[in-house]
Amino acid sequence: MRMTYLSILSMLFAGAFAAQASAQELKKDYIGPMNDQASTNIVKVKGGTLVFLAGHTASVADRNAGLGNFDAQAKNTMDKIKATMEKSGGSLDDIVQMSVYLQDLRYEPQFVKYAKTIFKEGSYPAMTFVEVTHLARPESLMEIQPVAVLK
Amino acid sequence: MTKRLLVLLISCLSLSPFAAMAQERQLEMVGPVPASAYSSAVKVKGGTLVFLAGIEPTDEQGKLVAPGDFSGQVSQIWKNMDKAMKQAGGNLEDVVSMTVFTTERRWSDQLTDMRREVFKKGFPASAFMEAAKLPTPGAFVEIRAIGVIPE
Repeated sequence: MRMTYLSILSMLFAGAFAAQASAQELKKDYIGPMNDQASTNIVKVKGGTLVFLAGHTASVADRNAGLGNFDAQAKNTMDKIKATMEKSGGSLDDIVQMSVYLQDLRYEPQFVKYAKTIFKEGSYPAMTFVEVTHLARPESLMEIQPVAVLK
Repeated sequence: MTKRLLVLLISCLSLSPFAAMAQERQLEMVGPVPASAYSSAVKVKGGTLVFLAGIEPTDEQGKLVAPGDFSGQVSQIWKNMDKAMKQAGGNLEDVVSMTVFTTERRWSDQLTDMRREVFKKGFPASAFMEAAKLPTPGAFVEIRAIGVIPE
C-alpha cells in the first residue's frame, strides 16, 4: 500500500512539473510571410518571456559628431538593439514585432534590404513602417521599437 | 488507509482544473475610457500572443481600398485585422492593444465611433497619433496591433 501512495505522489509531482514546463516552453508560429518586405503578417507566440524595448536611435559617443547616412544609422541602430537583446538574455532572432519610424518613407526599401541581412527569411518580425515629422534628434533618420519573446 | 487514498485522489482531481486554469486566458480591462472607446490598460494572464504587422486599408493584392474615404479605410482595416486574427485562431475582439497612425488627427472621433462598433466585449488599450506618411500612397490610416487568444 505504501508503494501505491508513493507512486501516486510521484505521479502528482511529475504531472505538476510537466504542466509547469509546458506553460513556459516557447512556441512560435510565423503565419503569412512577406519575405520581399522582410516582414511576417502574423507572429503567434505561446509561452516564453516578453521583452519590451524602448525606441532605439543611432548615436555616437561624440555628441558633436554626425550620425552618418541612412545605411550607417540603420546599422548603428540595429547594433544597439542587438546589444539590448543580448543584455536581456536573447538575440535579434527573438524579436517578434518591430515598429520602424522613418524620417522619410523613401528609405523603406533600403531598410528592408538591410533587415534581410540581419533576420532569417521565414522568421521576420511583424513590421510596421511609419513616416514621422520629427524624431528626438534633428539628424536622426529613424527610430526603431521592437518587442521580443525569449525562450 | 482507504480514506487517505481518497483524500489524495480528491486533491489530485481538484488540482487538475487549476493547472488548466493557469494557462487559460484571463483578460481584465483596467480604467476603461468609454468616451474614446479604449481601456487605459488591459491586464492579461495566460493565452497565446499574436503580434501583427502594421495593417493598412488594402486588399489581398495590396491595392488601396476606399481612396479618399476614412471610414471606408477603417472598415477595411477591421476586415484585414479580423482575417489575420482568425488565421491565428482567434478574432478581432481578441486584440488587446493597438496603435493607430493617421495622416490627419482630426479623424480621431470617427475612429473612436468605429472602434466602439466592433469591440463589444471590452476596448483594447490604444494610442492614436498623426503620421507624416504611410507606406501605401493614399492610405489615411495604419494600425499596429497585439492580440491574445484563449488557447
